[in-house]
Amino acid sequence: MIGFKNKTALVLNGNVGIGRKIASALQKNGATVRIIRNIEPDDTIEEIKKVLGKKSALDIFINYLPGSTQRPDAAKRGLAVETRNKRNCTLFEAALEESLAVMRRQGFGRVVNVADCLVAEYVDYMYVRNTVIAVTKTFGRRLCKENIYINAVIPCLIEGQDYSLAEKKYLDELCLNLPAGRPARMEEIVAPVLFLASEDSGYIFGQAIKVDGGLGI
Amino acid sequence: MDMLLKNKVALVTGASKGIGRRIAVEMARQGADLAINYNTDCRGIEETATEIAKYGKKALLLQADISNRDAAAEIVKKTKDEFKRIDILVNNAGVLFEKYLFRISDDEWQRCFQVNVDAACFCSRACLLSMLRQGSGKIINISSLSGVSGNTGHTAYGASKAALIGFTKSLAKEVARKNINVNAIAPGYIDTGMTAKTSGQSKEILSGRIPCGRMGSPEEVAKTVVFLASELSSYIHGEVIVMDGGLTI
Repeated sequence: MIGFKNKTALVLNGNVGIGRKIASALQKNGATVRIIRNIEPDDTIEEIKKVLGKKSALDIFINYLPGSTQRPDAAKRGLAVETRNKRNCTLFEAALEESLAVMRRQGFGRVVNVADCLVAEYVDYMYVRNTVIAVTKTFGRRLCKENIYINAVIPCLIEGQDYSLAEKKYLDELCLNLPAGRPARMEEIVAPVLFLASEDSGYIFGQAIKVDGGLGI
Repeated sequence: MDMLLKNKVALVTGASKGIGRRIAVEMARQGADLAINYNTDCRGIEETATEIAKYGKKALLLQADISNRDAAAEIVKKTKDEFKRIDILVNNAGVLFEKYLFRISDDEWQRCFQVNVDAACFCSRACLLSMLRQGSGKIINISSLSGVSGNTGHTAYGASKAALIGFTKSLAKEVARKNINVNAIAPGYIDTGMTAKTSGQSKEILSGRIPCGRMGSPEEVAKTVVFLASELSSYIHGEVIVMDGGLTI
């Protein structure tokens, strides 16, 4: 496995879903890991400063953007889900900006943006996924010269998620057309994130790597 | 730290110099035994073998023009005879004719496709039988940025490398359910010594055109190949990883 000795990592939403597994894997491989829990976008800058402390050293920033976990409910969904997705995306961008400010001062850093897996509805998944890709490419190009690497991992289906019956039926159908023929294990998503967070991924800038069992081919 | 390719057997084509050599050596460093193919550069392949030996790994030297179907099948057979299995195939061998379309000859066009596409097809087909029996395998095709976004003077090369990407995606779909990962890497300007020579521009001028301000190194490409050859990439199928220092974002 890849080593992160003497590295400081910050994981946005590191207390939930993929974020939690990534934080745990980074720590297991030697990094000092700090987590930002779900916060309001307006509090992001203060929260990051608080979490990083006075030294503000930051080698790795894992920017995990969860999608909406709200169940499809014709009467109640819609605006609530949209608002939640927009809020998460705003937080995602605010956290990235603040972390980049620290990395720019240092003159180096690695950012891995991570989209959520397919948890509720396809439209939510696409909303989050495309936001992550767009942000990665935009910032990736801008920061190439500053020795800051920004890349992304785009997962799709992960086993063991809390799916409703209706979702399970839909996902089973999706699996039939999935080249890999099965959902990913959580560690299969975490490993590429760790690779992109490591120095082994030199010369890769602004790439969104699909870890989706071939769904996106 | 655990080695990523411990006890694996890898076949790397075009391993006598440049990116191919670095891939083979990095794989040995990560614990793999190597079968290394070359066509004409005997001295180069000996140097690659010497570097592999430093890591205590075996290196089987295989001379062949793998654009020939039988020759490609023969090197795969020799690898299996020696190591009893093949876990990883890296289709790296390639040729480049840096010429405008109206200057490139029919023979050069054909040679480009024979080495860059046909050879990958022949080697993959020969290796797949073993991988299917084993129930696992990794195929990594070394494409090029020219195959993704094109380049002046690269009509034949770019077309053949784009074909390799199509080959990668299609084969990935065919064998993903058999636990075989097929992926590609598309390197941009890599400092192999040949890049500046073939492009006719100095290293400094080329570097100035790249957003990150430098050319990539063969070692960086090799590390990404190792990632794709390892279990870390077990859910990545049909992906093309562009390594271009931000040139085409």
